[in-house]
Amino acid sequence: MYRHMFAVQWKWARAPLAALCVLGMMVPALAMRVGLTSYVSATPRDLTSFTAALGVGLAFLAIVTGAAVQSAGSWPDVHGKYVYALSLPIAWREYLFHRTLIGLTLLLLPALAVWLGGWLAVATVPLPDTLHTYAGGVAFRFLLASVLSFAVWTALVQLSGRRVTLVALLCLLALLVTPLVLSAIGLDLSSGGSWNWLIDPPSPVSVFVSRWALIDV
Amino acid sequence: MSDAITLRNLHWRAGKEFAIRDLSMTVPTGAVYGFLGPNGSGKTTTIRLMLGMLPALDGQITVLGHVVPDGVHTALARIGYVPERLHLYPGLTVEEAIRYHGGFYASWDAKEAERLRRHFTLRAETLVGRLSKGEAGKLMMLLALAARPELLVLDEPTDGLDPVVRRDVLAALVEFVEKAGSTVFISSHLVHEQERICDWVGVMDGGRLVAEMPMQAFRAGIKRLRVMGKVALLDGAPFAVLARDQVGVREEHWVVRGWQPEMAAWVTQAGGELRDVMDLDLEESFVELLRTARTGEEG
Amino acid sequence: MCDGRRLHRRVLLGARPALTRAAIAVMVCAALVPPRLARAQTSDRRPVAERFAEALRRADSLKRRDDERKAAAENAAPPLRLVEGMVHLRYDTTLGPRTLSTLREAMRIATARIAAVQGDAAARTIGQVEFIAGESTFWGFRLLDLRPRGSTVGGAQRTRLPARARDLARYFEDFAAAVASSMLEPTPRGFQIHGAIPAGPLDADAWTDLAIWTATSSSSVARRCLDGSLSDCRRLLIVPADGTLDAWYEPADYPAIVERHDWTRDSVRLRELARRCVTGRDAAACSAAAHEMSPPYPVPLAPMQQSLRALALERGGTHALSRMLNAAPDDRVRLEAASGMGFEALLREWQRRVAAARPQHGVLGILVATLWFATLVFALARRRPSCV
Repeated sequence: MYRHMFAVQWKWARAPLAALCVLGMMVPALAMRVGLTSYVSATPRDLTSFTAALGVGLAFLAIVTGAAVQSAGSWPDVHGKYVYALSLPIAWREYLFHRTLIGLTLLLLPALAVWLGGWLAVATVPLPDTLHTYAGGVAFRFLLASVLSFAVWTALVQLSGRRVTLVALLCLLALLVTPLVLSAIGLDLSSGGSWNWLIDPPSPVSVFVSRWALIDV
Repeated sequence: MSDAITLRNLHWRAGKEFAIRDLSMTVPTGAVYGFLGPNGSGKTTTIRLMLGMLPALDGQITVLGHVVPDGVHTALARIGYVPERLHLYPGLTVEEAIRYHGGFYASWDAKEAERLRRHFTLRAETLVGRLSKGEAGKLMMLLALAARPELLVLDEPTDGLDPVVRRDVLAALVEFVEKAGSTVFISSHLVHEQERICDWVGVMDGGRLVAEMPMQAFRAGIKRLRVMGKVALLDGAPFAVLARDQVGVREEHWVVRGWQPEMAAWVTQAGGELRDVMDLDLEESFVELLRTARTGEEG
Repeated sequence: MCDGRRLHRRVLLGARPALTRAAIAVMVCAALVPPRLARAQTSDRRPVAERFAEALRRADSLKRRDDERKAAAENAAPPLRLVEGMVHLRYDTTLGPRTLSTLREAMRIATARIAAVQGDAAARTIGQVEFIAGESTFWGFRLLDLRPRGSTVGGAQRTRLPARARDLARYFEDFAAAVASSMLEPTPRGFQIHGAIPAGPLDADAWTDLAIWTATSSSSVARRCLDGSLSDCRRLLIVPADGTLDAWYEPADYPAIVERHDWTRDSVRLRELARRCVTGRDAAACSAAAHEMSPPYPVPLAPMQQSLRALALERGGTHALSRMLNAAPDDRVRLEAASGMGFEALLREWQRRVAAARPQHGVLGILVATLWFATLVFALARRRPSCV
């Protein structure tokens, strides 16, 4: 069963995956190239800054990757407004388990590409002893972020259009109301500290915004 | 022998417009059950409820001994289902769609699937999304039959198909039923088609089951009577009057259910003169049945 | 409808701005029209320079009076008094009870943190000053004004209300650190920005920042120090009297620091030197440019020396800062006096702390991602979708 499902998912996802793999390889190399051309003499801090800036690109790419792999698999159901699996003799949990497993397997490829791209990007850069390269770490973080994006998109796809709107409105309301409530109870938002809950663990956003340093101490 | 499908006091609602109310239905094992009803009467919804694709608000559903929705996936392994619309992935070729679908069934008969593909003249490499309506209908029937099901649930399987394709599909169905002896639950608004193959009939209208009986009883019991003279009241009649139409000055046509020849004496006693007793075909019976059900509802 | 009372109000209040506007317009017009000498003025035939000097004198006098008035207003202490820990505050009735409560909390936090760094010397820094607090509004925003009374060190601060106690506490801490730093005269070059004494005890995050700062520093001396070279740490952490460039940077580091310096305001000669250094890789030009940079370049490394002082104060306990202030004006002597330990031991301790504070690539991210992923998948598995 897994084999048949994988074959189908692979057929749909392979084209976007190929594009994402190329991007995943290019982003670290491009960031490093662009960064290194900014200064004639790059300091260690420049190196870490370039690669930290790279995190924005990789986080975005991870979100797109998760969404693309998820959408490739669920597009026919969404388009046809009919979940084919519901008429098949498979328990919903089992089906979801297989779909998730296939998603994880497919997401390994762009993560592998990021690792390769990262490794190639730092291979030619002379580093001081205090700095180290983390191509594997960044690729693993990319995998985690894309997996989380995959799960979030799966959840959104499962919700009806009305519920997605409701969730979006609730999020917006929370963002608008939270500052007012915090302000009312005497917490100052001007320093920005009160917003940290949005990007600090255990917020899911933390997976995307924390350190993506390809070169770090 | 237990029943293949039983629905008890089923309730479901979609907004304020439509609801299935207190639906109870029994499909005997081995029967070919024709599920009739006009468009929008709730046939497809009932099938989706039956197969666990929609959550019922209340009531009990049992299919092949499995309680739905908890055990629906076990039941589905023994069910061949042809939905109203093409539900297959459009990006797959016919061959891939057959392989994918078959991967979920332990009872899958790959040889039969191949035989049916050739019989239906479906090209293996054609994309499902590019199939004509007739080809799509054939493919869905192929997928349902090659699973060697104990129960076939067919939702408008021939709707929109041309007569040649319809004949092919129905022939394949009849051939399979003859060989396997499976239960068939076939929903359609094409009444004359049901008349040829069904031995049980259930009629849906406005979310309610208005009649459920063996086809023989349905066909034989409904008659049109030509009555001359005035019969003021039909209270106490030994048959049920479904419709009563004034045709001429003294002539009336009655559509009755549960007619027996010896009941002619009652008409004479009531002041009428029975001129003729005519058999109605299934379609006429169906129309009259719906008319009665709706009049009763309004009254 | 127009009753007598409303008419009266309109005449009194409504008409007044109109009159004011008219008066201003007349004055502006008058100012724009070139003055013509009136008959009575024609007798004043003094030279222009003389008249200009007199005008300046008059302006000076006006400004002086204004300054005096402001100073008098600033030194006039508001009537109400609040003491929390070692912080003394005077305030007026503009402060609401919630602001006062936040201020009290801030003073308590600040006292604890200042005492943790300065020990008994805090009585000479924060304990000697009285702060003035008042509330004002600006474009509809409520602001809390804080300033020290009669102190030459530290300035005023305006904070939007409602404020957090922690943010207000930082003002008192910075003030106490500035006062303590000023007592350490002469302030080493490059420490005018960072202050020689830290505002509060260094927490784990601060040490981690320091580790990152050191590891990514453009100074190869700093990086070698982090990698274990004690002699380089010694070179890095003691501020030499004759300048820090040669102590903290090596010729190989010069191109990077020269490239990052803003030469646009310097002379053509210096700009040319910098260009030859950066693009031409001319070592002599690099050395010359680096030595002529203004201001001197050590500023980015100042937090490291500040952290060494913080460590010395932490190790020295309650009387550490007092001992440091009383010691001879030499960095090494001051640090030994404060910490109560040998300079080499203090250096080793500092190096150990920084090396240990290097950020670890922990498993928190993995946990968070896994947790959310599992939650979402579990939630989805529980809910079988329908086909509508």
